[in-house]
Amino acid sequence: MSVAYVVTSGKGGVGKTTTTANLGTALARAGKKVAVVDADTGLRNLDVVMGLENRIVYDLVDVIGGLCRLKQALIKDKRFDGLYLLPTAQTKDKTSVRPEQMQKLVEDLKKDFDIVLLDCPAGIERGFENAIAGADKAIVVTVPEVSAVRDADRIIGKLEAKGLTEHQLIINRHKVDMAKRGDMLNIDDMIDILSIKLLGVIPDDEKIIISTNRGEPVVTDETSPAGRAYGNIARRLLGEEVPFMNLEPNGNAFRNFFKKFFSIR
Amino acid sequence: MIEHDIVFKGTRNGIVVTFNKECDFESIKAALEKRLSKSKTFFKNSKIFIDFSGSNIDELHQRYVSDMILKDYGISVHNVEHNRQKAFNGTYEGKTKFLKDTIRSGQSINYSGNIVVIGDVNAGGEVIAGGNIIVLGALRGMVHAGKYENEKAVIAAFALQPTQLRIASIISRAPDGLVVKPRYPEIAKVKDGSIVIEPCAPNKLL
Repeated sequence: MSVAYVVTSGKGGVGKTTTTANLGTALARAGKKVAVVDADTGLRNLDVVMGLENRIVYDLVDVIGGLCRLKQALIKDKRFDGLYLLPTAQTKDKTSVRPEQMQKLVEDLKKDFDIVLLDCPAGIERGFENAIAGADKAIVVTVPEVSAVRDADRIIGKLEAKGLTEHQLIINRHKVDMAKRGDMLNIDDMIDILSIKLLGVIPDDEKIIISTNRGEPVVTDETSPAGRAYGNIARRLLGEEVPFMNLEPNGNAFRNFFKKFFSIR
Repeated sequence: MIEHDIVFKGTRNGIVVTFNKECDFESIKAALEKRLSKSKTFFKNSKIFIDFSGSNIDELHQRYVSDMILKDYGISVHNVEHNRQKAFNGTYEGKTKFLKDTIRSGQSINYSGNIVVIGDVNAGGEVIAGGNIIVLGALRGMVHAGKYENEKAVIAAFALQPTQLRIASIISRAPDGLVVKPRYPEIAKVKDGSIVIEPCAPNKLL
């Protein structure tokens, strides 16, 4: 049974595109046939993050407009077997697509792909409506900031109002030290406010910036904590029970043990 | 789904429009437009009554709908005057709406009687009632009780940490500085013209 996930957040810049690219790559490496779809018409980024921008000939708006067939617009990622990108137009905007058209497009994609990931734009307007139109489940991405959590809450409310009740949360750019000092929202507080199942936590990692600029999703880098976290999330999506990563920096685990043992604050 | 949201009934007084009270403003507007545009000539220059009572649609949106229908279809809309007292008999009794879900940011609940939320009210969410508001969870959003100038209305929650509290025409907010999460249920009421907050069960505290 094919599944379509929409990766959404409300707030901009929290990591939806990065998440879509990395999860798509990880799921393809696990043997699934995956289509990642950029729904941010006019401000397309998924192609850049995946390093496929100079292979774009046709896009999602062309497919919906009947200028080409779906198969002509899909770009096969030569690095990973089973991974395809459907880019969108940069020279149009979100009014070029209607939710019913997106729904049909996703239904067509589900015929050929095991998993469809829809990269949702920021906001709650037409772009959002388009992106969720064909989705079965939602992945909500947020960062540990009050404004992002507020927007995530709004988005979850909108998803539920549209009947998308199967949703899970990814907390991105988590900084363990700041959370422990109380300078950053911790995971429990966020789950308390959002009342949503936690899919995974991605630690803040410089390698994300490097990988984005290179067009190589970080999940392929074994030394990147963020990459490993994305890999774990992909495994959880496929039904595996993966324990949450211990994000303590090396060496602290030992010190914390001593702290607990001697009750040192 | 749209078909069942709205019902046109012929009565002695004319045509009364009732609708599914669970629906939000956008769905009702869409349903009305769909139905009225189908029979434009039949309804033209006529008078219809819309029953907004008990719904989630506030006065501003009610007027918007009435104006839109008059402008687009030439139909004058009259509000079915439901005796407000039926819904709300002071703050000791009255019709109550029970919501068994968390109110999320951006959601607005409006009711003429009392409201009980079995869940949280998240920041950015609003609950507005003619009567009392009780939240069996964390109240982090904006609430307005006693909206018909009733200063006897109260607001109670397991964890009272709202962005703003309003009872009748009095508005109050948390003191500036770090917000401390309350450790016991509290109730807000009007005393001497301002809102005071007290523990729900003062005798239990040490």
